[in-house]
Amino acid sequence: MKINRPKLVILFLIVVIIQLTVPASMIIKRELILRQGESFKFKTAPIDPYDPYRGRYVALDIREDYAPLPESRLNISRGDEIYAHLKKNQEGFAYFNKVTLEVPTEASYIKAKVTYINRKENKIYLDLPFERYYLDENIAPLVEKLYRKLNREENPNTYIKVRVKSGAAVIEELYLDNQAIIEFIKNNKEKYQED
Amino acid sequence: MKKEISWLYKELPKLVQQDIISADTAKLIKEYYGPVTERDWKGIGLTIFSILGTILIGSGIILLLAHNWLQLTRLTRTIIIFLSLISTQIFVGWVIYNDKSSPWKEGSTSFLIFILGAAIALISQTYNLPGDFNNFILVLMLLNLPIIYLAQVTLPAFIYVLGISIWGINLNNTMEVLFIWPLIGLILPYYFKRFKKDLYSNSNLLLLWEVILASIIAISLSLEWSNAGLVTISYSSYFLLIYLLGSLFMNKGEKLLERPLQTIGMLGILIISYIQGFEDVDSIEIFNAAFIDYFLAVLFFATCVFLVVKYYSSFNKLILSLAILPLLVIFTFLIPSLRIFIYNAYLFYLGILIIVYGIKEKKIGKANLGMLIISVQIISRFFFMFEITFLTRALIFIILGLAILASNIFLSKNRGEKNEDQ
Repeated sequence: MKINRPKLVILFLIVVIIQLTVPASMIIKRELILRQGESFKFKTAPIDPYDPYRGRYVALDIREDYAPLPESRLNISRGDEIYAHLKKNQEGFAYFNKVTLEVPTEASYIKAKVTYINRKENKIYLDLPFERYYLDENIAPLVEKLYRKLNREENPNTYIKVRVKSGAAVIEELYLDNQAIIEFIKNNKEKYQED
Repeated sequence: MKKEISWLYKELPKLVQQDIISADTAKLIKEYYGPVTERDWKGIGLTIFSILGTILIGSGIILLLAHNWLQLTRLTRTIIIFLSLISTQIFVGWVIYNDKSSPWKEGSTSFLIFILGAAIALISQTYNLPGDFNNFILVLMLLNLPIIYLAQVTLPAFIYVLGISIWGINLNNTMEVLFIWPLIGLILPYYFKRFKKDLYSNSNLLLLWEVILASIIAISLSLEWSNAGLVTISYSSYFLLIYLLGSLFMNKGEKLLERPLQTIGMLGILIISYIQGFEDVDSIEIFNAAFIDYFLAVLFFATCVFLVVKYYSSFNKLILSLAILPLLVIFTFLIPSLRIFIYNAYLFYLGILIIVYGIKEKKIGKANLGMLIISVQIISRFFFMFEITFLTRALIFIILGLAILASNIFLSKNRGEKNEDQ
């Protein structure tokens, strides 16, 4: 296939633009959420696996990853997409107070898939988009050790701050023992080196 | 042939020198056989090294990003992503526009795949996106597909089919997996164009082997597998189909690697017959399967019937014998009690037929394949069948051994005569 040059240049430019649009739109979408979204805190317990392609991260285990099953027993099953409405409790942490099949108009919400439905406890478990928090390769194991040590001594307050906008959510920061992760490392580094 | 001709050309000056042939005759011989196109070994070497270099640097960049530098702010990361992506694109554009040689094209376009992958991975890292490897692969492959058409390259095409296969294998959703067909289909116009030019070039053979294997994976992913009967019909017809296509349109290859269609087709047919000969099933349900199972079974079977009817006269006995497998599969559903007998007899028959053709065509490889089929048959059927006496089994083994020796002696004798004739 010999394409003449002017045509080749135009086709190539189109491909180049499409290739640039994908990462650009990924970034813009998240930046808009981080800048304009409403802030929520989710309680979590971090653990540390390893992903060879994306480097080290802390896997997040969100405590309140369920919503009450509505009395009307919505016609939903595993894998269905639903809208989970967000509320804050007295301590300021987020939880889901109900789910709907329609887009909510008043409350903040997250669009999520149903992982499973517990009929006994009347809970719908959700597949939330907060699975992992990425860290510098040198810092991830340090955080893990510090966290474990902390966890043995007291019950540390661990949570993530997320921004939510039109059903989509982005993690803003991970907090260990009520400190942003960078501060936590700074404050605890000496403690770690003492051992 | 090529080897012999280039050997002859090397000999010609000596023969002229020794006055065995005249310079004019030597010229006439050269004109008769035409020029020998030597493989461009330097070009191949350069291409291999440019690909290796690309893979190393690309992997290095990905690992560098995987370190996840604490110092990098979101803005710095965005700048890194776009600077590296745009500069690679400019480089690829320059290579394509100036129609640079193959090592440049292969290296730069493969590198672009790495850079795009690294860019998307870095974004996922920056915004802590949930790991969705499959979507990542699919997006990456589709974004690079047009470059393959524009730059006319091999390695990115190979990576595309590989990536799509990995995507399909990782999917759990049965309906979504059917998209593997149009996705593989997207690269086929490019392949057809290449194959038309020179079917037997190394790079085209590589792509062909890969795409055939990918199609087999695609079938296994598409089928529902709840119905063993339909699965067997689909697979036996498909293997036969590629074997028939190979014997019709790709029969000039001398080596095994140059005949991907026939090799995979034949292997599939033999393996299916062998497995079927073991299964002791009373009857097989032919209903209650997914639509796609019926569809593929009918499609492949009908295409085989069409090919056999259309090209009946150009097929030899061996091809026609292989072609009855799908019919046997259907027949043994109707009369399952004959199953074991039919497949064992069929494999024995095929084995003998292949030996006969091997001897006829003076191809020791083919004759040995026939031997292998019969040996495997005998070992797996008779060795472990304890109702047959040791004496009978012993005799069968001895006869088998003698047959193999005799035919090999016959073939090598034949070869010796051939050499003397020359």
